[in-house]
Amino acid sequence: MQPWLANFSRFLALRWPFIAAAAFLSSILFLIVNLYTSQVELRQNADARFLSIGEARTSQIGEFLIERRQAVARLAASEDISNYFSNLDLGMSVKYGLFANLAAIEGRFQTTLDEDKYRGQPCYLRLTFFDNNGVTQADVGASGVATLSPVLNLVEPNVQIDEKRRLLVASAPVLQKGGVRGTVQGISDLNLLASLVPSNDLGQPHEFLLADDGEVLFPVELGHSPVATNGPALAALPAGRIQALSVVLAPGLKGYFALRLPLRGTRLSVLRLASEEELYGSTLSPTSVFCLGLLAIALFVLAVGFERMRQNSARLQIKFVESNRHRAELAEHNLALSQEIKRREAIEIDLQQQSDALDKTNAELRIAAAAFNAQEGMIVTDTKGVILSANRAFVTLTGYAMEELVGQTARLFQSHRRNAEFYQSLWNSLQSTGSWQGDMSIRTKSGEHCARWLTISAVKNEAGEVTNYIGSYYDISKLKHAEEKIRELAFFDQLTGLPNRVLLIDRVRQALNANTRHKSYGAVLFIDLDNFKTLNDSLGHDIGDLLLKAAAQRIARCVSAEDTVARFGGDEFVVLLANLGTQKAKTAALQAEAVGEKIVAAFTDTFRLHAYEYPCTPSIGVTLFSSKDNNVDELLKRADLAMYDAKTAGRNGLRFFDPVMQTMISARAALETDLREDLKREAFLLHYQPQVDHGGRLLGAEALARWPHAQKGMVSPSEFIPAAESAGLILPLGALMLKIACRQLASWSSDPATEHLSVAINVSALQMRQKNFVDQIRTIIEQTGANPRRLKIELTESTLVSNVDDVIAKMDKLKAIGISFSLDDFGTGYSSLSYLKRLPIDQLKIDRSFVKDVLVDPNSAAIAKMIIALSRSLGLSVIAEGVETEEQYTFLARYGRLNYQGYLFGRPLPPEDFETLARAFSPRQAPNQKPASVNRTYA
Amino acid sequence: MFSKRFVLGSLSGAMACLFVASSWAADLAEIKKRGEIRHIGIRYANFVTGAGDGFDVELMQGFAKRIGVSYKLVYSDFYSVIRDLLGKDAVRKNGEVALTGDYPIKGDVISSGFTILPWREAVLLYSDPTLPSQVLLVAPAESDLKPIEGSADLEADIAETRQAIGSRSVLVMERTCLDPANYDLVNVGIDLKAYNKSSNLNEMVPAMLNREAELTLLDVPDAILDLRKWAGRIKILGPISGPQMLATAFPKDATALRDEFNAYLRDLKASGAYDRLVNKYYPGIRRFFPEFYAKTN
Repeated sequence: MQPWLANFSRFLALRWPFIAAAAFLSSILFLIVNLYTSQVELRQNADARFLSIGEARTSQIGEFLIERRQAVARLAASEDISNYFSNLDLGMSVKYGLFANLAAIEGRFQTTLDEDKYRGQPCYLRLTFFDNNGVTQADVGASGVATLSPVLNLVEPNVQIDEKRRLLVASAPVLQKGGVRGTVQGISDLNLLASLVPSNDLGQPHEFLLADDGEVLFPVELGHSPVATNGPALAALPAGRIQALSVVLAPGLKGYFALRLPLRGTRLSVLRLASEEELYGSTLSPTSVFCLGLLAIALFVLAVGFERMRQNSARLQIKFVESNRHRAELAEHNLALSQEIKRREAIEIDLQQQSDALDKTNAELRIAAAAFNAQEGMIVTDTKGVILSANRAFVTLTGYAMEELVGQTARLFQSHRRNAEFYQSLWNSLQSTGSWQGDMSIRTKSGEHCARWLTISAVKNEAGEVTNYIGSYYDISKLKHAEEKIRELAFFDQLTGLPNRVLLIDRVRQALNANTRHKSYGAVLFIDLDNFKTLNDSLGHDIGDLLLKAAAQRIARCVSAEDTVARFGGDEFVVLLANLGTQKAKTAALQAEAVGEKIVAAFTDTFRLHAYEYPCTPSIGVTLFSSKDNNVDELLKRADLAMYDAKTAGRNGLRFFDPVMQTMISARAALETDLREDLKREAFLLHYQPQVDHGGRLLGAEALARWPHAQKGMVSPSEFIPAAESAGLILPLGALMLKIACRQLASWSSDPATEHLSVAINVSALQMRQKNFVDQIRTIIEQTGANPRRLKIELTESTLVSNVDDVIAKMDKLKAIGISFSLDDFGTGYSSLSYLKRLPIDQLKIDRSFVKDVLVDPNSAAIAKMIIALSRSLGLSVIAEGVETEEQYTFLARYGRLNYQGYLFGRPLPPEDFETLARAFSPRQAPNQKPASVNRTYA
Repeated sequence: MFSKRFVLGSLSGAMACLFVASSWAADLAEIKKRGEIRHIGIRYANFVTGAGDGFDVELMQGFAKRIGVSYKLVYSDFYSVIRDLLGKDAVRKNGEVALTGDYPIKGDVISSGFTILPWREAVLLYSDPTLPSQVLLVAPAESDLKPIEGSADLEADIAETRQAIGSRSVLVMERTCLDPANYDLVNVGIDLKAYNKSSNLNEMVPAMLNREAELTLLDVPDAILDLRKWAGRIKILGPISGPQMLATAFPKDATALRDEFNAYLRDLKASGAYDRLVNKYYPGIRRFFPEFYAKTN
């Protein structure tokens, strides 16, 4: 026999009961699976049958209800009712005419009542015809059966169930000529439906007709059955689904299966109830079959388990005897082992103590080594300063190799910047206190000097004797750098790199002190860049800064290294010539003037500021100082005054300080004070210069500021406006002018002669730059009641150069309330078509400078013509200002229909005179006078 | 409503003819002996439809059955009907009625929605009323005349209706219940248009709609049918007469026959068969004459 066959036979002999049981289990499971499948199919068939019968029932009842609806609809559409309304519409009365139609309707109703049967029973108890007011017109049938109030204006037939009276009410609208004229109502006995809900035979599913509130309509004799008491819950069951009822859902109907089928278009449902036996017969449920299968498997598993347990028990018995024998042997071994363990534990404790001590020592050594190998340079010397060791950082710092250092003293890298006294005091401190620290400079092998903070500590032995010194060199180069930076920030201007005002004053003071000693003259030059403010306003601060840097460089190139060039603030520079090396004032003045002229000459070339070629000139004020002078502020003030003198003299020049200038400066200060006071009192005026159209008709005026000074009389705008600018009063002055102009507009609006006139007023760049400028204008308009459509704001091009988007946004907001814009001085500045197209302006103003020369200068004439052509293409109007002669007018009029302003048409007039002018030429003058244009000779 | 003079004249005429008529009367006994009753009917409304049925046809068929004779329908018209019963023409002249001429007698009884009129009563013997009636004035739907609203005062309703006629033309049929002479419509300024193309009252409304006249007279039974037949095309303006009674007419000497008929009529009403007959042929008439039917019920 083959070995594998023998093994297999032995395997079978040992396990045949198990194999037999497995085979038996398989056959049982096969049968159970078949049984389960059959039961599931049977139940599905039963469910389908249950559902289809219910649906058939629902369909029958539904058809019955539809038939009732259709029947009353047919009656409502009958010819008799139609005839009735035809005759009613002809005006016939019931007594003489309509009686016949009503009789015909009643006849038809009676026939319907007699003939319409359902399963042998009359379909209707009563048929009624209501008119549109709900009044009964024809009524046939049992008068004992109450009718229901008809639904007026019923649109389509319907069926209602009156559960309480057990009536079924079908209603249909009577439609005549496209409208509802009445209602036909058919009342039927609800019991007609009884034949559609079959009796509840034993063993058959029970059927019920439920209202949506759970009331059981059929069968009637239900009494207090569980169905009646659980009506609401049953009526709420999901439609069209067979559902097993639970104790919670319907107490008393546990174990029943329910199917609710709603009747479409009604509040009724057919309910089918069946017990499990009625529904599925007395067969096992699939669940029971499944449980049987599980039971068979469980029995098999239990049998196998018991067999295994029995076999394990026998094996354990044998093992128990064996283990008793082993236990005795182990007890002996354990005794010997425990003695050995105790001996080894004692050794281990001893070793551990030694190991701990060693670890501690090692840790201390690691710390010391780490400290020694830190980033800072360290050396160890003996008591005489001979280097014993140096760390890697120190080797790197000095550039010496370790071998070169060991055996040397610190003299090897000592800086010669410190003298012997310093080193002696260091050694004295070390010997007395055991430590020293301080700023130290190291000379490296390559000869460079490094700043370090040196800390020297003495190392003592257990007897307290010094054995070594440890020197630590901390890197303080960053600290030194920071100190320098702070100094630079404190004393130097960040933009130009020049000494600032503080350092200048210090140096001036030093120079004054020095001059006191050597009795020679010095000089202070106060330099201001001409028109720098205009550059800043027009091209922005970035460009202004570039100019300042370039100017600083040019000025610095004009003086020697001993002299100081400082940025004093803004566009002001000061040059300190500390020692002119002479005690003669005239010589000193000539030397100072030479430097000054050199500076003026340095500004001859234009500055290239990015894309701009900018011409810039300086105004320089010079003052000399000698040993007699000791007041720095006075000295600077004198130079400043001299500089203003240079400005007044036409800029781009040099002036020496003169006492006369002081008087002038004082007068200017007084003017600013008066300006401030009069602004508070609103003691300013507007004069109005006429603006006319091409035919000379008065359009309005440009408002021009005037200052009637209490002592000086009328002050010229060219005088007080710069004073207001320098005193920072230009914004309140501008706001006041706007307010006065708006008041004037409001005043003119009530006079027919002036109501149509507009006022143009200049607004500065500074005003436009205010964040609240739009709100400010709105407030002024609201407060004064001026018509914003009569207000025109004149802007200069410089207003528009910087931050155009912001200006456009503000202009858009003001335009939205009706204010118009005129671009003043067009052509004199940085005219740019690109922004001109974007600006919401209404008018271009030809500058007076072009108008003045239009007849003599071809360039001015060409510019004037270009502006006229440009405005035409942009759809803007044009006004020429400064028109003073007939010839200028004739020339300009040749190129288009312009508006004009100038002495030819009228000088600026006080409001009263302007009103007189306006009235003289008002179109609303006396009937015999024709409206006139402004007579050019009027002015 | 009827002039006193006319009533008196009619009665005297009737008395004068009484002797003459009695000599050729066919009474109950003779009819029974003959075994046949001849019913003279005029094709008119639903009384005698011409199709072999009608209210009066069924009434007389029932009567023939009651007295045990066969039934025969003899058609006539309103102009010849009295002549066909009595063998003489009834001639109305100056308010009096005279029987003239000799003609063959075609029937034993007139039953055809035959209105009881005084002049007819002078020469005929009437049974108890078989049906009430009334004469109404009818206009086409498009007429500018408006139906009266109707009130509790019949005289006022009639006056209002007559006033509405004005000078408009009215279609009438002489010697019938629509004879204008019966209602004092002659010589009062009304443009009367006698319809003589036919003696069929059913043609009055079509003739009016054919614009032969602006208005027409119509009795209630006809109106019941025409309001359905011509619904929307005609309108009833109001009453021209007071209530009239229709009855079955017999020769003056046929009293036994008339009495037997009255007994039959009473029984018929008591049995409910009468009501069924009325509902069958004139379903609306109950509404128009509630008082009459209250009594019969």
